[in-house]
Amino acid sequence: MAYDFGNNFYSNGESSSSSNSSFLDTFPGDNRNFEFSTDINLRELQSIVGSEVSLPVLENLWNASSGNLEKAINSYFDNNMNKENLDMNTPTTPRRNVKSTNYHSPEIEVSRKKARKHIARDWERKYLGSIVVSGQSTIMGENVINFKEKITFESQVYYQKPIRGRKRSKLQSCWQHTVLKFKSTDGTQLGIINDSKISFMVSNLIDAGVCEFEGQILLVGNDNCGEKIEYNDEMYIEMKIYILHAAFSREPIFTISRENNKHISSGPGSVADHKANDRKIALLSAFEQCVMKAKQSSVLTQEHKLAGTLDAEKIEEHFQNEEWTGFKSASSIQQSLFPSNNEEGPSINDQQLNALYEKAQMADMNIPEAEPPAHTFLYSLRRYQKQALHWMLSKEMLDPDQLTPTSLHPLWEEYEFPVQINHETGEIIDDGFSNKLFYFNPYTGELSLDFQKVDQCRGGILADEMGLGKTIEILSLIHSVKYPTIDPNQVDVDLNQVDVVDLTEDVKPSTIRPVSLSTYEAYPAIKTTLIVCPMSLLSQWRDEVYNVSAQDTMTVEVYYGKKRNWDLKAIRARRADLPDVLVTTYGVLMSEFSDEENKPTTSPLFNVEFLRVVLDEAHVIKSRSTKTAKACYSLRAERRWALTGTPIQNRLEDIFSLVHFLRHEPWSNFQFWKKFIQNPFDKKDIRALGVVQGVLEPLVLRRTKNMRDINGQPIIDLPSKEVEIEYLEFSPEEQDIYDSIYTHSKTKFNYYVKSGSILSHYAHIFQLLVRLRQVCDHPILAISKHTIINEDDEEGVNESAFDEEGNLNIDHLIERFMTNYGERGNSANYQIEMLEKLKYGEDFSNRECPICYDNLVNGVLMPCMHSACRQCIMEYFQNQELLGKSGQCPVCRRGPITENDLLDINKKNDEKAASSNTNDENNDMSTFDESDANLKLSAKLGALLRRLNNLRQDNKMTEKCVIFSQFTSMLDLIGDVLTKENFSFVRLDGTQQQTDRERVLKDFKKPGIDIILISLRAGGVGLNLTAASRAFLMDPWWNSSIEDQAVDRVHRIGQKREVRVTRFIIKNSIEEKMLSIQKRKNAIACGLGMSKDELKAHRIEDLRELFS
Amino acid sequence: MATPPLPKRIIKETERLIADAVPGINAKPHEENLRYFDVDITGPEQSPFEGGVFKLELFLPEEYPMSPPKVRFLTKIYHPNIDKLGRICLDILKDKWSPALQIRTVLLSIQALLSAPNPDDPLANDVAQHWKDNEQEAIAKAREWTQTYAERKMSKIGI
Repeated sequence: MAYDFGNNFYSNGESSSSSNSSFLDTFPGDNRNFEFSTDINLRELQSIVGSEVSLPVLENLWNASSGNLEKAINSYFDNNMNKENLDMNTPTTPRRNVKSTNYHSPEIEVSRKKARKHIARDWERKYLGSIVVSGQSTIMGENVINFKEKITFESQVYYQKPIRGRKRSKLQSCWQHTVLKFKSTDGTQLGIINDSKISFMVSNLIDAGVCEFEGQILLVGNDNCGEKIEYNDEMYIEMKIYILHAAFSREPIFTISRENNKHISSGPGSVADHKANDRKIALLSAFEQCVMKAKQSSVLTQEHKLAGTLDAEKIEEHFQNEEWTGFKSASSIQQSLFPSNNEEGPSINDQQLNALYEKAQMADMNIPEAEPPAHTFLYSLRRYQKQALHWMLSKEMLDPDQLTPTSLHPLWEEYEFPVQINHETGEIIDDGFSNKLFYFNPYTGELSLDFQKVDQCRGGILADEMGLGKTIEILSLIHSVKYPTIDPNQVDVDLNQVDVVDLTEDVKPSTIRPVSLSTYEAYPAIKTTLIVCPMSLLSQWRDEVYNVSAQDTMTVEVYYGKKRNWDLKAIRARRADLPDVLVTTYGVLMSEFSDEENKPTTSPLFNVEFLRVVLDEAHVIKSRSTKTAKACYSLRAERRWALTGTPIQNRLEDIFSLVHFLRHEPWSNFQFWKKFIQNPFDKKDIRALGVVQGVLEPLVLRRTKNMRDINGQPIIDLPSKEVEIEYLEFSPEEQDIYDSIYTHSKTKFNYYVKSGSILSHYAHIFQLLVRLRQVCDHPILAISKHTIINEDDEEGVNESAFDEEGNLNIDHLIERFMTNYGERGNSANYQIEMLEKLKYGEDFSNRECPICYDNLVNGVLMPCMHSACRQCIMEYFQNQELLGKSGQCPVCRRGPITENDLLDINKKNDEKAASSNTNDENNDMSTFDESDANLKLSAKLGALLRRLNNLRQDNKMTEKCVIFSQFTSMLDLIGDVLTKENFSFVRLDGTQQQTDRERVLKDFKKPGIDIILISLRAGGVGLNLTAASRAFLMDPWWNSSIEDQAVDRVHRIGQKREVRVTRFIIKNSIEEKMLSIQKRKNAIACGLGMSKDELKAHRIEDLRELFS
Repeated sequence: MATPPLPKRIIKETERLIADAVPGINAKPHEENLRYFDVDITGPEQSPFEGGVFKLELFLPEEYPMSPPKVRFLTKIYHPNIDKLGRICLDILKDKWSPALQIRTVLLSIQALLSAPNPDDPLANDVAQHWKDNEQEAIAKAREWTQTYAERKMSKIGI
C-alpha cells in the first residue's frame, strides 16, 4: 500500500505546483476515485502531522482546507507550531511543500540544512523510466479491472532448493522461484508477471529498497477488450520505475570489503555478497530496460559492457568463475589463505608498459609552469621542470572538496535522471529538484548522488626518466611550499605565482609554524620533509639541498650512521629549529622500523608526522611484503611522493606498492587492486591495463628524455651518446682455461638437466655462470677464492687463512693445524711437513693430482693437507653431492670438506710472480705481454689499457673515464694495472662507507683524477658522474637496463660533452650469449637475481641457451 | 667411430701397473679397448684359494675415476662375498669409491678379500650361510672349487 500512498501524494504535489493538471482535476466525476483519494490523503496527512492526531480531526482539517493537502498541513502546523509532539522523524517529504509558505526565514533555512542530514531529504524518489511488460491474469469475471487504476507489485519468493543442488546459479534459482504479483489498490491480486527477468529485477529492487514500481493495466489481450476476463488472459502493463532516495544514502556496499583486510569473498557464498550481487544485477537490468545510457563511463566499463561482462545475465556467469559466488575453486581458496603466493604475477612486457605510461604522459605537455621562489631557490629550472613543479604543487594543494572534478572514478558511471513526461499533456514533469545526475558503480552496485572522482592523495609518483632532474624538481617543490598553510580553505592559491611563506630573518619561526603541535601530541607534526634514499645518494641529496638553496634559507640534516641526532625528546625540544629536510636511507628506515616493532614509540621517524615524505628510487619498495616497503608505508606524512625512473620494473604489482605508499584510495587496498587489476591482468585480460591507466593518470608524471615540448623542441638537450661494442678474443691461454671451465660447467649442467634437478641446483648453476663470466674478465678471477660466493661461512676460518692481500697465510695455517690436529700422529706429521714445504716455497706445481695423475693445475690444499687440482676435487665433490654425500678428501677420506675449505696453493706463487714482474721496473707494454704465463693482462684488460693509452695520447686525458665492472676483483686488477701505467684513479664500490664514497666522488670531480672504477651494482643508481664523458663497461649484466642505468649516470643533465660508451664482449663466450638474451628482451635478471621457484622454471630455457 | 682420447690418468695407471707390478696380480689392457683389462689374481697363501689363479675382468667406465671400475670374477669361486656370476661385494667398488683409489688398490683389495672372507656382508647368501654354519666344511668346499676351477690356470701365470 505504501506505493499507492506515494503515487497519490505525487499527484497532489503536482497539483500544488502546477495547479490545473492534478489527478483530481483530471477525473472530477469519478466518485470512487475521489473517495479513494480522500482516504489516502487523510492517511498521508496523518503520517505527516503525527499518528496521534485522530482521524476525525484530520477529516475536519481536510474538509476545512477543501481537499487541498498542502492547505491542510499548513493550517495544522499553523496551529500547532509550538506543540512538542511535532514529530521530526515522520516522513518529511511534504515539508518541501510546507516550506514554501512557512519556512522562508533564513534562520530556519539554515537549521533545516543542518537537520537535513538526519531527517530531511531533497526528494523521495526519481523517475527512471517506464516499460511495458506482459502478465497473466489470475482473476476472472466482468469489469474486474479498472484500466485507470494504479496497480502495485509484490513479489513472493519461494525458497525451494533447486533440484540439482547448488550447482545452479543463484540467478536461475531466483527466476524460477520468484513470483511477481500485481495487485489492485484494494489488495486484490490481479495477475502475475511471467517474464522471469523482470520479476527477478523487480523483486530484488523492491527487496533492496532501491526502487519503487507502479503500474497501470494498458490492455487485456482477449477478445472482450478486458470487459470480461478469464484466467490466464494476457495483460499488458505499463510499469513505471522510480529510484528511491534511500538507495543513494545507503552505506556503500563495498565498504566492508574495502576497509577490512578480510578478503572480498569472505567465506563461501556469504549472504551479503549474494544480496549485493543480486541488487547490482537487478539495477543493471533496470537501467537496460529503461534504456538508460551512462553519460560518462570509463573506457574500461564501456568495453566491459560491450563484451557483455556487465550484462545482467552474463555477469552472473562471469562471477561464477570468481570467488564471489562462493563456489571457490581450490586454488582460489589457497590464494586467499596464502595471499603472498600471488606476489609474482606474470611480468609485464614492454608494450604494455608503454601503453601504461602513454596515458600518464599525454596530458603532461600542457601543464602550466610554476616558478620556484627565486630568492631562495638558486637554480633556474628548465621548462619541463617548471611544469613538474606546477604539477606537484597542484597535487599537494589539492582541495578535497574541489568543485571542478576532473576525472570520473574509473569504476563509476555517470547517469542522468530521465525526464518524466506526462503522457496526457506531453509536458515535462519537473519535480523541482536540482539533482540531475547520479552515479552508479556497475561493479559493486553502489549508487551515489555525489560525483565520484578519482580519489586524489596529496602527492604522487614523479616518474621522469633518469637524468631529467627529479631531485631538482622535488627540491623546487620543497622550496615553494616550505611552510604550507594547513587550512584547506586557504588553498585557493594561484599556482602560477605561488606565494611562498618564507622564513626570513624578521619573522620569528614560532609565529609561522602552521601546525599546532598540541593536537598531535602523539605524533607531532613537523615542517620537515623526510627524504628516503639509497645509501649511495645520501650525501648527494644533502649537497643538492645546499647547492640549490640561497644561504640560510634551508636547513638539512642527515639521519644516518650510529650517531643519529634525532630523538623524540629532541624533536619536541627543538621545535623551532628542526631542519627543513631530513635525509635518511632505506636501511636506517628498515632497522628503525624493526626496533619500533619491538619497542614502540622510540624511533623519531615513525612517531612524528612529517610534512612530506619523499622516497627516492622508490622502486626499492616494489615488493609490498618486504620490511623496507612496510616501513615506508608506516611513515606518517601529510604529503607523499615517490620518485622513480622505473615505477614498474617487471610486474604490474610493482606499482601497487607505490600506490599503497601514496595511500591512493581505493587502489591502495590490495584486495581491491587484486580484484580489479591484478586478477584480470593475470587472466590475461588486457583491459586491466585500462584501469591501471586510469589509476596512474592523475598520479604519475613521467617525461622521457626524447619527449618534445609543445613547440616540438626536445625537452632536454643532451649531447649525443654513442655506444659501441668491442668484441675481443681470448688469448690461447685464456681460451684453454675458459674451455675447461666451460666444459666442466656444461657437464654439470647437462647432468642436472638429465637428472631433472636444475631447479634444486639453481644457486650452483648460477655460480657456474659467474665463474664463466669471470673468466671472460680475467681467468684469475675464477681461480681466486675470493670471487666464489661463500655459501656457508662457518668459523671464519677461510678468511683468516689469508692475510689482507689475499695471500695464503702459512704461519697461520701451521698454527691452526698444530692446534686442531696436533695429536693425530702420522697424519699430523704429514700435514706439518706439507706446510713446511709450502712455507719454504716448494714448488707444488710438480705435484701429482691424486685424481687426474697430472701435475697440479690450480692446486688446492684440503684441510688434511692433501692436494689436488681444484677442478678435479670439485668434480669429485660434485659427484659426492649427487650421491647425497658430503665432500671428503679422496685420499684419506677426512671430511666433510666443502669448497670453502680448499686453499689455493698457486695463489702464493702467482703473487710472487706478479711482484717479481713489478720489479722489472720498466713500465712499457712488454711487461704485460699477453703471452705472459701469469696472464697478467687478459684480453679485456689489454683492450682497456690500449683504449686508455690512446686517450692519453690523443687528448691528454681531458676526458674523464668511468670504468664499470660487476666484479670487485676485476676492479682490483684494473686498479693494479692502472697504477703501473701511472693513471690516476679513484674507486667506488659497495664495501665503502658513506663518507668514503663522498670523498671518492668529490675527488673524481677534481682535475688530475682521470678515472673512476665503479662496481656496477654499487654505482648503478643515482650517482652523478657527469664529470666523465667516457664509459667502459667491462662485463655485461643479464639485464641491459642495469647497464643503461649505469651509463645514464654519465649521460644525464649537466653533461656537456658527447658521451662515448664502450662495452667489452668476448667473442664466442658466454658473454655473447648473454647479449643475445638481452636482445631478446627476455630479461633473465628477474629469474637469476631472485630465487623464487616459479620464475626459475621459465628460465631453464635461457640456461639451456647459455650452455648450448 | 671416434672414441674419446684416453685420459692421461688411465695411461699413467696402465704404465705403472705394468712397470711396477704387484706380486700375485697381473693386469693387462686389451689392445682394442684400453679401458678393458684382463686380470689374474693368485690365491693368497693360507687361504682356501691358495694355489689357484683367478681370472677377472676389469672395465674403466667413462666416468672413471669419478666412478669406480667394474670388476668381475670370471673364474668360478666359492666365496661368501662373490656370487655365482662373479660379482664382488666390496665397499670400495661401490659407495666407498674415491677417485684417489686406482686399479692397483682395487685389485689389492680383492686379493685381501680372498684372504679374509666376510660372511656377515654376503653377496652369495647360500655360501655365506654355509660359511657361518660350518666354516670348516665351507673352507673345504672353497678349496675343492679352487682345485677344480682355478688350479689349471697355474701354467699361464708369469707372463
